[in-house]
Amino acid sequence: MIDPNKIKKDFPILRQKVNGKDLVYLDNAATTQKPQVVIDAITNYYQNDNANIHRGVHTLAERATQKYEEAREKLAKFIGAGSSREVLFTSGTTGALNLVAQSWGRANLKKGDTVLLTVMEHHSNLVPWQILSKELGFSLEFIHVTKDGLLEEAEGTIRRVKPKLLAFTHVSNVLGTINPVKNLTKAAHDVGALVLVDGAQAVAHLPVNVSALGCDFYALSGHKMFGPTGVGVLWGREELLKEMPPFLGGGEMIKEVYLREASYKEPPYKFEAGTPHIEGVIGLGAAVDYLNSLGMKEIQEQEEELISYALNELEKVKDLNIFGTFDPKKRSGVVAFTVARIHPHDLATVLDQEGIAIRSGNHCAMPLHSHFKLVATARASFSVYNAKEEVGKLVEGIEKAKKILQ
Amino acid sequence: MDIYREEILDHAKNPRNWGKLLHPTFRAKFPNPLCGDVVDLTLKVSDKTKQVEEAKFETNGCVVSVAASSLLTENIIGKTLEELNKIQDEEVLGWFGGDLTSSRRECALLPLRALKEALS
Repeated sequence: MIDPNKIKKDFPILRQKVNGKDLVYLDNAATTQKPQVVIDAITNYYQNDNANIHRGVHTLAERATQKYEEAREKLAKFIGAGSSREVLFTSGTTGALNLVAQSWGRANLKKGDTVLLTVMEHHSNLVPWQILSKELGFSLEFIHVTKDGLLEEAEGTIRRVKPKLLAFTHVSNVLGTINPVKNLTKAAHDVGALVLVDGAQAVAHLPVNVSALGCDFYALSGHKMFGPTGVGVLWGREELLKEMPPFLGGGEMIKEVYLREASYKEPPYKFEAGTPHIEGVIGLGAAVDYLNSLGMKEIQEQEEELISYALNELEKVKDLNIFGTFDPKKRSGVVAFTVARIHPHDLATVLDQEGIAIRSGNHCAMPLHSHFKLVATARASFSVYNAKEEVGKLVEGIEKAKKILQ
Repeated sequence: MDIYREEILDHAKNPRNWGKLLHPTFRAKFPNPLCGDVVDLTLKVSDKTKQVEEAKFETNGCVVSVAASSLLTENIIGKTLEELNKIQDEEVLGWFGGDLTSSRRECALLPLRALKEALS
């Protein structure tokens, strides 16, 4: 079993006091902290290997290119991709989702088609489709959410709507719900739809194998899995990527360029125009090594126990209302809640005074909040370095806020 | 830091000028995009004197935005339109004793933004 207090030592930022108290970082769904090995990989790249990749023939360029491509191999293996050619580096999950919309979507969607989303999507898997549907005239439909925070009649909706694309989140960033990707993918494929999965909240918390899930695209962010910000991955099936037109044009993605036309490289390079976020990719590779050293199954087990404990402790707090399912098998380490007569922002400010970092607001999921007739919630989100004692401190902080504010 | 000191909490728990004027001279519903909270501000201004006769607000906001709205409405009653236009962010932030972090400043400034919107 993983000992979070031991893991914590790998993260230098966690050894600090905030407002005179030991930092309790419970905003991991927004971004995770970075272990020393990731920080070292980035520093080492700039101290020893910095060069532009895939261009120069000199030693540093060769070294930087090799490290960048090694990271691609690591990512491919980490998510169970058939080949590293299916791993495209993007600016993050948002970049990856927009790439699918602007490249695959623009080439394949037209009036009369439907893209099926869910009510629990993050704005990043909602707004790109709204923008495109206004332009191309296809429809958007939604799988609804039960009061327990699970998808409602998902497979029935897929069969009824017969979408061209089903795009949904693997793990909800508000409810923590782990959606049944495999079953939904099968139902979508049965009606001829492609499947895009937003994995931003999943990859650092449970083992992900895209080949086993069976989906067609999978998007993730580096900074939510101990890597740097500004880098993410779009995984896509090679045959789809080959057919898709480029999204951004520029250097690196071309074979030959003439004044009026150009020919493009094969994926993944076709989709990586311009100098990429090289140190970000190398840092993300180091983050994958770090996650592998802990073991994704072990991380999942540890977080499952922590979330059960947290739900149990929070449920005992008077006037506190938790959203989402209480089944730890269907829920990842995110707990959104409200406390009667306390605005989430005020709660977050009082907790900050105790050194506890949580998120307050709508967490980029305004439609989901509207669905529950809420404007904002407080959200505590956990990572493998969070210990049970920290849940205790959260509960104490909430009680203090109640004394001041209720 | 003590943004939740007694005076602020009193304004938050017992907000002055809570409500909505039926026939306002000026009105604005202004949202805070960070949290989705909205301040609905209504003003009645005298035709003759150009002074604020009544100011009311409603909001689903936090302690900071409710207290700021309560204090602002108290503050502007009796003032002329010209004086309202001169109110600066610093004045409102001053009511919180300079204790607000940058993210919470927007909560405090929400009613002032609504006021400026209503007058524009």
